[in-house]
Amino acid sequence: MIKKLLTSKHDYSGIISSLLAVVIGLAIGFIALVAVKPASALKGFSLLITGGFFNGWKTFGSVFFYATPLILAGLGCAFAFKASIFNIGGPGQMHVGALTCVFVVMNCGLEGHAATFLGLFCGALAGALWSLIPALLNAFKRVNIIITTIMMNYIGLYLAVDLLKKSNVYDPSKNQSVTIPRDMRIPRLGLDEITIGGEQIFRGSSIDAGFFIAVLIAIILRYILEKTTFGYEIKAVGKNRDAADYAGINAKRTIVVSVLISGALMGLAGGFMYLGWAGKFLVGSNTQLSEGFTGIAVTMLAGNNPLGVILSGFFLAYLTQSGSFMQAAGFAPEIVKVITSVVVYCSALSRLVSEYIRKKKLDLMIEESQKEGANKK
Amino acid sequence: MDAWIRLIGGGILLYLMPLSLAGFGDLVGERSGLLCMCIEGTMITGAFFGVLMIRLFSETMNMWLLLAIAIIASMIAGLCIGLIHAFAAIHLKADQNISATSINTFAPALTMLISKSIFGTDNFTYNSSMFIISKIPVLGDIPILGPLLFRGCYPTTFIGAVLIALVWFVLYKTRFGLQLRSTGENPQASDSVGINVYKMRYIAMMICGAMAGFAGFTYILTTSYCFMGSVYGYGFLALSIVSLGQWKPSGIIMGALLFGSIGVFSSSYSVIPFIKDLPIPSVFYLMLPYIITLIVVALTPNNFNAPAVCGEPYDKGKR
Repeated sequence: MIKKLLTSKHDYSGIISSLLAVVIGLAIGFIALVAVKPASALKGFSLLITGGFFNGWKTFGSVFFYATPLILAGLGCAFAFKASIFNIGGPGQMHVGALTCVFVVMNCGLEGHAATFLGLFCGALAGALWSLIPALLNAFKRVNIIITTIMMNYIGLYLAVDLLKKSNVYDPSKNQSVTIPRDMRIPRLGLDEITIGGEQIFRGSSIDAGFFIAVLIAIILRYILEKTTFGYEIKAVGKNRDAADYAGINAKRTIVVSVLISGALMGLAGGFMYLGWAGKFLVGSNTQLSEGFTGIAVTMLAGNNPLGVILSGFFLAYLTQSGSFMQAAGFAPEIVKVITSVVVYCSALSRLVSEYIRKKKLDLMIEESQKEGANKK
Repeated sequence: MDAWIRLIGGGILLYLMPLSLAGFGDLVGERSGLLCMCIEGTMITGAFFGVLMIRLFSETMNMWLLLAIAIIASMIAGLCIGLIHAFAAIHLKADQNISATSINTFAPALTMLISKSIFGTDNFTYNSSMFIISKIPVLGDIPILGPLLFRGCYPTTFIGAVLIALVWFVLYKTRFGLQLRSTGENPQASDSVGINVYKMRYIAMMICGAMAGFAGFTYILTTSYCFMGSVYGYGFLALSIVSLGQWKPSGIIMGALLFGSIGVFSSSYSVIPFIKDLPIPSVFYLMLPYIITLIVVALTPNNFNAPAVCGEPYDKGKR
């Protein structure tokens, strides 16, 4: 089995290190559970694994809803990562995008899904706009984008909360944004009425078409990165900015555009989160949207591969959904954040794993060539 | 007059101290050649374990003993986080920004997890006012300096000042400090004269973590009465102060002074009569420290004084 893996033409080191990261992440999560409450740790851990089916298929349907923003945020991070840009401005870009989206949907005067699409479009624009300053500063002055995006996160948070409170989409009695009318939410395309064995399995869940849009965007991004000149330029800039510039690629423009696309995806993620059916509302208190940070975990786990992001986003959404039921065993849902950060940390292992596999492959090749030599004699 | 000095000067001091503590911690780490983007998470962890001790033992323990325990707890917690970062950066040869990001998301989650399992809520209050020294005899009577430093002050301010002086002395006036700085400029050369680069970087990261942990503790203890799993981006402010100060101790102090003034302004604008009446929404003052940081990093000249190999994993075979 191992020999087969080593001799195959494909490079499996990415998948192996991702699985390793997940296993270590879950193991440390379990240790944390034992440390916090030894008596109910086992119950908590089994909830973490099976929580995605807590109320049967209905819960599982909602995992699709939670996966949408995580996949989009992960794609946003991954796209900037390809240009070696570390966009951790997700929370701010998402917050601004989400508020714009909700505001436009409620105020544009259009009916039904036309409003939804306009809202999502404006949300993406707002997210891109929010990443513009860090993008320009990094491209033209090489200012550390981590610092600038973090600052934009705080500015975006305070601004979005303040604007929400002053806008007409705010419900002061509940300290949150107003409910989006049903016909203006993300279309469900009958997904909640899928019937298996005479039963509508996703009935009452918050599944919507957003998941498929996220998958579609992942495929498009994969195409852009692998099959177009622009994608090649992004990767070249990511490998070595100065060399790319020397080779005639406009590195500054490439960086700005890739960060803008990244920000737009973040804004879109915010839009999908608050136009969905799960009853999520923008709140009037100063809390960051942590999904933006989870996007980093999603892309690290997927090894920056846009198609892998679909899987890892779904996996982390499943864990998040499970985490919301952890209260039943007396644990805070934060355990999921602990696990995701350990997963990000363990993605550092990928370099070691790929080095190890390369070494093993070389050993195997040397061994075989020696055998051949012996046979000839 | 005295009241104004205490309000503005004392206020600046409250922000100056944690920012320069974290800044000096970051300086040690980056001088050894490691990027320390994890300062924010380290500060959160240190702050949490420090104020947790105060919350848990404030009624049963002598005040000074309690303070000592809280400080030690915050520094040890910070040191552990520093070690985690150092392990990824040195032995796993990881992208240091990624390991730092994982720490920055890990720290608030961990503190909330623990705080929920102890108190049932994700934030908890603590009694910080008992540590205020109303007036130190003799010293408190000195004009200007007395009301500024020695009246209504926190003992952590003085401990912080001693720590900063100590770090400065070790880094710039000792043989060890020179060796440590050399690993951030040319580790291969350091290695060739018998300096253990890995060991130096581990030690640097431990110092950095301990300083940042203590910085988080002083910041949360002196400016707040409730811990909510965040130090509000002050770790990142400290980072930008270090690059603003061009990796020089005097520059860091000046930068911390600037941001301290902004911090005081943004938190106390409502008591300054003529500013209160300006038609500027209050949210602007909340955002001010972050906006100023953006402007400052945009205007800072490129890192000509930065450590040469900051952020690169050390590769013995590289020429």
